[in-house]
Amino acid sequence: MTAPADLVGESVARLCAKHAPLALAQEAVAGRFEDAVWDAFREAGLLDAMVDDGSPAADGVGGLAAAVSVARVAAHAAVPLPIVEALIAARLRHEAGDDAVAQGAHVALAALPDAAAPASKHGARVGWGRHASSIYVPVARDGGYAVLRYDRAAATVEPGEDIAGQPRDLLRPRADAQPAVFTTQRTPADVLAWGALLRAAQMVGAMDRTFELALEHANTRVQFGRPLGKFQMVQQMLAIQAAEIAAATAAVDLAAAATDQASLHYYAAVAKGVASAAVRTVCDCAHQVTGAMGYTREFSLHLFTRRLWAWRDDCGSEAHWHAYLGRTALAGGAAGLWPLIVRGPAAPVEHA
Amino acid sequence: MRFRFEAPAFPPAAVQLRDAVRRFLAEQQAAGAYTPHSNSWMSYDAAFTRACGLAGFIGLTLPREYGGGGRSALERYVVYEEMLAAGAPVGMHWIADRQSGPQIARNGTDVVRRAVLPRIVAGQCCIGIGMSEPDAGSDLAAVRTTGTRVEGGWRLRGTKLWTSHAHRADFLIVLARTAPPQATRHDGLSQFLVHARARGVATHPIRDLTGGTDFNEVVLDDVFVHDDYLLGTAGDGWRLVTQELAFERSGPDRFLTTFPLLAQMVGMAGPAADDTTAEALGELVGRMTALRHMSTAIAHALDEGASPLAEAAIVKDLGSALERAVPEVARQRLAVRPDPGAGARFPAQLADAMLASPSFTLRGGTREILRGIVARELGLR
Ligand SMILES: Cc1cc2nc3c(=O)[nH]c(=O)nc-3n(C[C@H](O)[C@H](O)[C@H](O)COP(=O)(O)OP(=O)(O)OC[C@H]3O[C@@H](n4cnc5c(N)ncnc54)[C@H](O)[C@@H]3O)c2cc1C
Repeated sequence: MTAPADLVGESVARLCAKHAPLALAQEAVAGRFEDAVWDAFREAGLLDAMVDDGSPAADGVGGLAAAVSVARVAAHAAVPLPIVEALIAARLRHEAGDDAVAQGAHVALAALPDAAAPASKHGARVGWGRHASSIYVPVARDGGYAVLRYDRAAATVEPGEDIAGQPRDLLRPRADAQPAVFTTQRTPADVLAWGALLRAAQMVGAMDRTFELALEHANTRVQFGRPLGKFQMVQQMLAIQAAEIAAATAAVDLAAAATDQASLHYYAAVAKGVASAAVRTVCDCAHQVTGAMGYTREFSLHLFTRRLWAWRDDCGSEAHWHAYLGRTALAGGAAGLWPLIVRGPAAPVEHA
Repeated sequence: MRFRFEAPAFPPAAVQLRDAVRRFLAEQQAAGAYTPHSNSWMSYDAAFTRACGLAGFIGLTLPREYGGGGRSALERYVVYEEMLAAGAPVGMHWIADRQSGPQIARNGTDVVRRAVLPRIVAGQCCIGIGMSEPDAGSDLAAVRTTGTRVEGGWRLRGTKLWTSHAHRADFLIVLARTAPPQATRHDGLSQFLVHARARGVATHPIRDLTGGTDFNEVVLDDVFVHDDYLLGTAGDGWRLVTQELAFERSGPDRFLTTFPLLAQMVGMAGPAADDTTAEALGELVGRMTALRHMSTAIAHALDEGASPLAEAAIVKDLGSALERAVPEVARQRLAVRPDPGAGARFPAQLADAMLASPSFTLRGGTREILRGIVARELGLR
């Protein structure tokens, strides 16, 4: 089932090894847009991984598994680019039938709905927004739904950054901005679920790398005449970490295999909830195992742990998604709980 | 390094099977056969087990020629999880169905298979696991019970401890030392199927935290075991035990023990619950969903002949922590106080689950030992 997505993952890994070594992320000036890497992803067609050119009747879930692989593997390499924002923008553009914008150097990003601060006419936070050529914003409109495309030039940019130093800019449309409007079935909640799942996929990639760094350190750093990894307490910390990551990986894989929109919302919530909650333990153990070395900007651990601390709050934190899951369960009552756990909800539950 | 859990495709027959189990459980409940409760796979109920046997819900994966269902591990999984989710008292046959039956099918002589497997399938056989001893807990290879070669069989001497259900079991599977350690301590161990009421077997129930008497001290005083009742070959006991534990560690019983409590909590909190309560319940629901996926993936991997030891250890470690979190949320968010005097109502069930909860991270391998298994898989030891 995961075979095609695994192939996608392998090609992303090869591409990253060639164009985006860890040194690049390490040395990158915070927030600089790496055109060469971007072009490599774009030319390999990877930014279109989520475009579901099979049946539109795939009920919105086609392309998800491939996109999950791209997001996960790119995050494992700490690729310093808005991969998820681009994946989702490509999907929205395709669904809208919007072929007006130039390809090539054009950078199309999606404004991912933020559970805590939804997009409004006053603007939206967009990851890497300052570098966008155009921005796709999913909105509710006239009793239905639309996707708006803004030119970046039609917005003011208030630069901001997240805890990992990645751009997180506040974009405000100018008074005379004229977005292109595409009516769609796609709701902001759908896009939030996509964003949550793809962020969770990035988090799994970053947690894997975090773990690998901690493990390698434990095997090589010697104290009291032995590698740290020979101490049982250190072994237990690594095992705890591995278990949390295993659960987050399983949850992401489960969501990537969702077969319809209703279950996608549920499983994306599970994935983001489990992944975001795992960050605390995983980062705690990794930093503990790596000691003061892990607390430096020289050692690459921070490229992953800082992103994890940023991403766990993006597209809904664990608190948001746990509450969503709780509401879903409560709506089904005691008798509905077991069927929910076995096969997901019969119908998607509205966001609060 | 990453542990993967491949989603299995349940066979179509599993869908019908699930419906059949649900109908059976609904009928049993309607007939007042049982009240759903936590930790139900430790609840011994001979009448219920017999009903399961008659309905064909025991021994699904055992070979057909011995009365078994000859079905896949995933189908068996469906029966297990439906029984546990419904809080049904499956304790009499649980261990036999989960590990002893498959162990006998793999390594028993034909005589033993014919004598025991049909009885397990019929719901007329309870088996206890005689592994632990006073000086052999986590360090299982330290067992001191000995098996000495005699004419036509073996004589067992020693003391087993914490043997669940031994006082009502038909058979015990006993791990004993039959030869001195060779290259490693794991050499020279053997597994025997022992009649629980054979001459020389003395069983003393031990009261546990819940007040119940499910586990026992079992003294084996020169107990004769016929050659046919040696499992596998002499000296192969450690391999048999390890294989068995992989089956024991990853099933739905490792994360659904307190599910009946959780279902009631969802009903009690209701759709009007506040955000904090919704959040606390949702976290449990989300983790349970992920763990179920991991656990089914392992059932599938076992079917395919893999032995995912570390993955199974991870499921049990995370699952038992989740089982234990359930009563905590009931206290904190639903403000229920455990009350043993509340009859069969929720506060009494909560009290029971609280008192049983320390065992979740001990039985079947402590969480520290499980993490050690994961660390070994990571190459750390
Ligand atoms: C309800 C219940 C039912 C049971 N049923 C059965 C049964 O039917 N048959 C059977 O054979 N057994 C049974 N057991 C026994 C069970 O398998 C043991 O309790 C378990 O293996 C742990 O052994 P122990 O209790 O002797 O603890 P110990 O091994 O003494 O361990 C005590 C503590 O020390 C820790 N520890 C031990 N060694 C290490 C180490 N090397 N590194 C780090 N920490 C360590 C453990 O993790 C634990 O926290 C049952 C137990 C319970 C609670």
